[in-house]
Amino acid sequence: MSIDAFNDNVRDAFIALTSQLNGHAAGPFQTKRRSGFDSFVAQGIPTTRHEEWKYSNVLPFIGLQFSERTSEHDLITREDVSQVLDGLTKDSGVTVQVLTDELVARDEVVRNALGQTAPVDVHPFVALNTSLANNGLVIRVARGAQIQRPIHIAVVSDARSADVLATPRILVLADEGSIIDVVESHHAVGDKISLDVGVTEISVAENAHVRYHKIIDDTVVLRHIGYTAARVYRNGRFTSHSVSIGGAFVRNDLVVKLADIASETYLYGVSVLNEKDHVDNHTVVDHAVPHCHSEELYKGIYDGASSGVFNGKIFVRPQAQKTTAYQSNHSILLSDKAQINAKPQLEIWADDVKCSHGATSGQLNDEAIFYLRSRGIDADRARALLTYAFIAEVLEHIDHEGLRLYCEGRVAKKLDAEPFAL
Amino acid sequence: MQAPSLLIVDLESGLKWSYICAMAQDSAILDEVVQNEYKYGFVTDIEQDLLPKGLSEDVIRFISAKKEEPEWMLAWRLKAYAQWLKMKEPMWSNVTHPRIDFQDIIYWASPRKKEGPASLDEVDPELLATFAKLGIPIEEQKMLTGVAVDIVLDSVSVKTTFQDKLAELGIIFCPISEAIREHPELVKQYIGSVVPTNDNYYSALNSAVFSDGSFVFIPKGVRCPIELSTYFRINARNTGQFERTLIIAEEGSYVSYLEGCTAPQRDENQLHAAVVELVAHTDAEIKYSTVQNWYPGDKDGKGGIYNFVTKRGVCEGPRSKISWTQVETGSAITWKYPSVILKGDHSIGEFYSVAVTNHMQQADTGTKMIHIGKNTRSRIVSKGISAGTSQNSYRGLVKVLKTSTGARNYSQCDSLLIGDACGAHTFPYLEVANKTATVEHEATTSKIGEDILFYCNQRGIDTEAAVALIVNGYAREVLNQLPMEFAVEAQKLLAISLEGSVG
Repeated sequence: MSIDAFNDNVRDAFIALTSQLNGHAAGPFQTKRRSGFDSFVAQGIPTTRHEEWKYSNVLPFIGLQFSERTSEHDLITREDVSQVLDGLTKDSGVTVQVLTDELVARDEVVRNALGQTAPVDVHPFVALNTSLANNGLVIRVARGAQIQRPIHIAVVSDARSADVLATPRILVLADEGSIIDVVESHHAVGDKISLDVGVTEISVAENAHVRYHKIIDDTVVLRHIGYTAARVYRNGRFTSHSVSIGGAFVRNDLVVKLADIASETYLYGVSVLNEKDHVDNHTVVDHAVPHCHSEELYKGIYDGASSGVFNGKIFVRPQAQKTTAYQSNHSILLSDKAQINAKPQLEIWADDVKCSHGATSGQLNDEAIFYLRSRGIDADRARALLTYAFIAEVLEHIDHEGLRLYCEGRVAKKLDAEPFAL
Repeated sequence: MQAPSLLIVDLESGLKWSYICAMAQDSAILDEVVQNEYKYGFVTDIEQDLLPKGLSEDVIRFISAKKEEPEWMLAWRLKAYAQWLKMKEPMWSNVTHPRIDFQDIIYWASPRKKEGPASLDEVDPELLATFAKLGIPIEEQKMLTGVAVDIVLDSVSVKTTFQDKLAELGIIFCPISEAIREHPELVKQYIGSVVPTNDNYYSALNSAVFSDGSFVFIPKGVRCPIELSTYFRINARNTGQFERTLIIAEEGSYVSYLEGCTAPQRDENQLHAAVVELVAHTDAEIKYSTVQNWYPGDKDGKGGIYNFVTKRGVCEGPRSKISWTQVETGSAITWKYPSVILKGDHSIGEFYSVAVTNHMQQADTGTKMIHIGKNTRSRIVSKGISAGTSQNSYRGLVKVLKTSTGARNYSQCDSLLIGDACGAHTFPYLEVANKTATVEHEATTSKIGEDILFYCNQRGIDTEAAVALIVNGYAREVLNQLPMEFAVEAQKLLAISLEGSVG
């Protein structure tokens, strides 16, 4: 199997999808899909010679033969989804809709938002997702609504009977002054390969605050290429927590555009990997206007033969004066076979700014281990405690207590540091 | 500008203040230099031995024949040329320029050939006048500073001094064309060993057509008693300069090498694609310092030199050390990454850089530190200063291989922005595959604080002088690495380069 065969696969899927559209073949959603497909063909599958894909090789699983229908029975039926959606209290201020051709045709807000923050030409996989996007989710938060309970979107692909290509598309539209916690997680069942190419678009209106959590904690079945794009308006705030504790191939793209004055973003991420895990975190903070603020903290622990990538870009446009942007990335390698490739980037086109980045890679402090051992804690536990503390420093920024405890618990388990989970 | 009458020394940072006041009094010198838009912009009129424009196998054969080179050298050049023909011009850097027409370049130009002059009297008086304008009185240097100067005026080395004294110690310091004839075994062994001919597009081009350059060989256990210095000067219209420098430090030896550049003012772009190779054996140390002040083009970005250079050193043996220091103020485009391959255990690589861009200048510079041996250490200090509408990028790679247990790196790259139309960019690559390695990178970008400028103004230092002071202080960590005579020149250059960028 080759790239050509994969492209043919995508083409077949695109044609099959088009044939099922009935009255919507000329609708606005299909127009977007078509431009996505054209763009995918034009951009092609990236190789490691592509700067943005230097450390993450997608070719090994591009060769798989993906089937459209994965099994006789849908894992989750349309009815199941409807039941879940109905279960959400409608008066809470959150509306969850299925992203259909009909909705895109009818609803101007959805139509404008779809593909606005994640245009097809930024990324071949965004184009791929757009060309095959169907039955995604639209989450709308009403003006001023302050949602206490997080909305959890779990994307599950069914790889029980054949390799599967999933293209989940999620839109989060937070209206003025609203606050919401969104959790996105990706899973696969079965023992074939699941290639999950997801796109999430988030719009944060004036004075709104979206707290986005992306949790990747899955078996070796999942290959995930996710692209999350957020656009933040005046006084808005976007906080992201990316927690990656497993997966044979995970690529997280996170692009935040600070589009209006006094908007801010806080990006936190952890990677806790072992065996042959591979997690690639690409972040972009785009300061497009003056007086915005961004902070970013990513940390990683790499054991076994795992490999991690951090590519963080801060972009300050010429008119974005008075910008403050800080970024840091720290990694610890625990094994001889693990590796980390970090590329923190600053691209600054305005002068009245304060920007900095720092990146380190090292190992646990011998003196700290000695200190703990001198207090009767054996070496393995001392290491586990220190690595856990290293990661917990990032997780403690999760505002929602339940989510924070959940993430801390998962990380502690992965690190065998449970007795010390605080 | 008036020097402040008050000397404030009882502050916590007393030293800094005495420095600032001293500098302010020195501004008379600055004023004088600043008057000229480009001090070294003049053309020496010497009859040139020119080859027609363009590149072909015949041109390479011609160059090789002119240099009276042995057959193996010609074969080596032709092989590089064949590789170059197959390569594509690299486009990934953060600079933009019109496509270079490699057939529109003269690949050979030399001053009128004379029998080797025995004394300065025999040297073309025009040349001596040029040196005087450049501020390099050879006689004086011989007597006072003890710096041996190997001047490359266009493509042929004209005069080498101190050769006899160096020869007593067994040191070879000569034009590389001479080394090819007289020490072929050394050249054959090392040339292309650090920068292979097919390393990149411009190194392949250089390998095919290099005209001349310097060759340094320091024998075992010898500490070179003087700073070796070469002044390069691009002089003929449309002459691409393809220098080739090779420095070999045998076991336990030490050498400090200075490279300084000035070029006449020009309207047409000139390409400079040099290759520098350094080899440090066991316990050897090479210190390579550059002050680059080529014509940067005028305020509208017209003209100026393209400086696309491949510089690389290899720490071959245990405990060897290579240190690059550069002050880059000139050139329309500077595109280079002096690198160190840390092969020997406990070897050390250093990179200290100040890159100033003003008007329409572009710089994409940085370093690569490749850690292979155990307990290798590297240190990177890069200071970028952008003004006007210029673009300044730091691009660096720190790579720790699996074999490099206990590797240590520290990188710091700071950018200073002067004016709201310039850009500063940082692209560091950290690739770590050994768990015992410690790699640290930090970068900051900011402008000169209003409060600091106000403080200086308040004490009678005008804004322009204040900027010069602050920039010199900012770059001090790097300037301190330069040999004395270079440090003085570099300070002036920083101030001149930023002239007109404020107020």
